[in-house]
Amino acid sequence: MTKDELQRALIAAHEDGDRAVLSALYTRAADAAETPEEAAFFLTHAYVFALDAGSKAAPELRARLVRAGAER
Amino acid sequence: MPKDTDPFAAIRAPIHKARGLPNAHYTDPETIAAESRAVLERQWAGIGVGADVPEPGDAKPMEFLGQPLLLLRDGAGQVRVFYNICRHRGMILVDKPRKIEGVVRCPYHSWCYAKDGRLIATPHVGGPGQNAHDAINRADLGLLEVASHVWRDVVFVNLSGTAAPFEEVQADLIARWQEFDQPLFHGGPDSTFTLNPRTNWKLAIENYCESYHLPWVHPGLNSYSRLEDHYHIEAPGLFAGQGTRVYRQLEADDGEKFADFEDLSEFWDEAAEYIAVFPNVLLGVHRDHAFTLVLEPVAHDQTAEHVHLYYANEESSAALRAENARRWREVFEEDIGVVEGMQRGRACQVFDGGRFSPAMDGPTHLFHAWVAACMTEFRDEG
Repeated sequence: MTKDELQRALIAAHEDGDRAVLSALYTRAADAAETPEEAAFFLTHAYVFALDAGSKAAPELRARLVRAGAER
Repeated sequence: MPKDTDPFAAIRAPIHKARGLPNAHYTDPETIAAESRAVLERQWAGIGVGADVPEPGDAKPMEFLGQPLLLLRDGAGQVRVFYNICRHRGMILVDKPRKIEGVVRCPYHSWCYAKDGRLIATPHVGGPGQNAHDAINRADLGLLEVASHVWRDVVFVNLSGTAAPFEEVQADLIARWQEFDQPLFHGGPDSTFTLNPRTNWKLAIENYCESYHLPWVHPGLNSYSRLEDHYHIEAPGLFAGQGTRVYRQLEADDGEKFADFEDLSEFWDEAAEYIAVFPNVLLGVHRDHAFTLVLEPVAHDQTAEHVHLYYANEESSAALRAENARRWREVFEEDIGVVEGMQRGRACQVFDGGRFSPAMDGPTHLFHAWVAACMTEFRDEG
């Protein structure tokens, strides 16, 4: 998935309010980020939508943020 | 203040001399605002029922006295009441009833709260991708919780946070109905309805308390439940109502009846009691079912009466529950004409609060006297 494709998918997922998909797409965006700051930004969104959805992925996303120094 | 200038002395006087609350308590916004603080905010007022949020995670936003509240059943199944605002910028958190699957996420900047109210995520609060900041102590910024207590499935709140514990305040009523302290099963969607009389909420209480009106407003009851079959229930400062000694169970054509609550004493074979729990909750108990009316003060002349019917188990037929709901709805609707008529009557500039029948209006006077006492206490402390 290119950056543009990812961006379009994210916009569509926001319009649908599909939090599980949003969390997954933001995780992909974080994985593809070019800087630690960009990764932390996208990972934050992935974590928030995982929390919102009650997803089992939330603890691991939080752990990644902690390791990145973005969460306490 | 000298007694002869105390505006509430005449209301608190013995019933044979007393007058009712003056018109301003039904018509004047300033008086009603003070009264709301004295008799609703500072007491244990009903705002809803546990059945409004039946499953863990169920959330229902509501307003009470203009305050945005959130009724939420947490992950452990406990009903809790929070102010429905984010601690960040005061945004309304939940705008319609829904299931909270994970957390309560603010729709503005996505601060996230656990179902028990803890603030657990503050995205970008320290800058992009930085989700913590020394100035933002999450432990201090959980959802603001309102003192609440659930009894007989009614969710009571004490907005001021100053009332003694509910179990202490209403110990006498809890003891009176101890036999009914057993599981209640809400009858479901067909066993709940809302009536919207154009009246002040207090008039619904005043009417419910007394049996004096029954033969005139509910003539259908005359055939088996006569005035002399009723007795007053009077607990000054706490609750008031009426009881009947001739309750008859509803029976379907095929002989079906609702199951009784377990191990009730013989007294309840034909007795039923109808009690107004001050300030704004009306309860009824019978051997085989119970009901609750939570009175929502919508405006000075508008009340929403939220009615819920409960049973001893889930076994009864839907048809019998629907028939029971239909019958009670008919009775409660019969009262609308008089509570609306009394509200319209409060526009009469020469009405002096009215008089009470010492024989028949004891429970209603007791409610007036309680409101007057609350107002006096509020004024003296204020």
